[in-house]
Amino acid sequence: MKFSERAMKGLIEESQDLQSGAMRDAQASRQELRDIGASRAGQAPDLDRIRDYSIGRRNLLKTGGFGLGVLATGGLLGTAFGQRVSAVLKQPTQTDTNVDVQIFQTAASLENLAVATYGAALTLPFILDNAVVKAFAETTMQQHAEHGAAFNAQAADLGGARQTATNPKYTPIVEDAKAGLTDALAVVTLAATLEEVATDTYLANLTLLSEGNMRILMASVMGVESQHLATLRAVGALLEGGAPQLIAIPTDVAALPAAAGSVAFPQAFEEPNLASPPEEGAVS
Amino acid sequence: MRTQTAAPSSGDLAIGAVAAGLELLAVNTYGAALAAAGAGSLGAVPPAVAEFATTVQGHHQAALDAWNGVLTASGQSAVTSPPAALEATVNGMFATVTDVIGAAELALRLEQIAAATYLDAIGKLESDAAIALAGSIQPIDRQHIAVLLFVLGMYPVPETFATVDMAFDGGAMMPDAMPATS
Repeated sequence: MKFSERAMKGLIEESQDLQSGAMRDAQASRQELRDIGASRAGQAPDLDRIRDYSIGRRNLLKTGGFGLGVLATGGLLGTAFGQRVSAVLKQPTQTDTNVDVQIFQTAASLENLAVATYGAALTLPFILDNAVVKAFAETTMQQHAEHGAAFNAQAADLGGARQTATNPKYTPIVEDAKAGLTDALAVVTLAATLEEVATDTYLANLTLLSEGNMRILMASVMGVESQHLATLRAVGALLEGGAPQLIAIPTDVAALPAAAGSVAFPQAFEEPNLASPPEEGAVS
Repeated sequence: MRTQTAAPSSGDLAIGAVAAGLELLAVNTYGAALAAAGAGSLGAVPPAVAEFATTVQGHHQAALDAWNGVLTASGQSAVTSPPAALEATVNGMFATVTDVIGAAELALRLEQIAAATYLDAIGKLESDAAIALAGSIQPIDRQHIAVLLFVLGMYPVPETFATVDMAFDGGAMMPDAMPATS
């Protein structure tokens, strides 16, 4: 496999430099969020917000959001697994917790699970043997850790608890999948699913969050998760196509199959098909 | 706290018009690149790059149609021309492109501007429909960025958080305001 560790290190250091500006922006918004949290401390939950959220949630359920559409499309809705997930999704909204806090806690639970999953992948010999995939897993794990920290900081600034646990819905699914992680493609497929769940969840959250700066943080992370997803789709396609030698930086662009130009983004618009509802990973 | 509105506000429509203009510029630029490739002006064009340009042009056309749909449904005119100053800048840069790498670098800058503009818009839009539309496009543009970075020999996910640094506000954006890509 073609790979320059020095080049990769340089690229990653460059990416870390790019982050200094982004982190300054995030810090700047934190005081504002702390003020919002302080202003809401001790207040009764905003029933209008809960009603707005409940209406939005029902609309999402009707249109197949929060995973139901995928279950139906995949023929899983009638199975025991599908019915169990469906029952969870249809539970009524908790009315005693700020929806914004729930959203950030659930987002943190997804990030915690991603960190744990990439961490587990990095113990597998066929991941460690592949320098490019290993470097991607390490960098992506670190990025997810920073996303989780940012979400927990926002939850805390709003007066909520930090979510340190992994997502309760997807953790058993990942645990069940671990036995089947016998090659790089299986790991890439599992990671891509988690990245899609995160992307779709953060997309659904955009119309549920109450403040513009919260939406910007959510979308800022959503965009990066979607890049992870695109990269994993491309890597998965190259593995499936029997061209692992093209998983390289730089790659041999001329040798890439035509499909490599489109496989990373199968649709013109992201849809919240796999979105987790706000309360799914909330601290109870 | 945001007041949820069913219909796009006047501010939403203004942002939508800017977004439509950027989408049209992207459609035109990818179209020009495909035409140049077809004419042999860019040298050898790898199949994956041709597929990328065709697919992504379609994405931007779909986004343009969506924003114009929002505008016309609210009684506004559809956007039929890109922002003039930015178009002039991009066309000037395109005139210097002689190969696939140059075309990919220009495409990367357009995608970075679009993604940053949508991120900025997501914080400012007021109606759920407009927020959802911008939110559904921004991650796709970020995916375009990832693939272009890979094609250009760079790490595909260099940022931990997407930023609004390159967001377009409707005014001119000169080349020296556009960050280098390498």
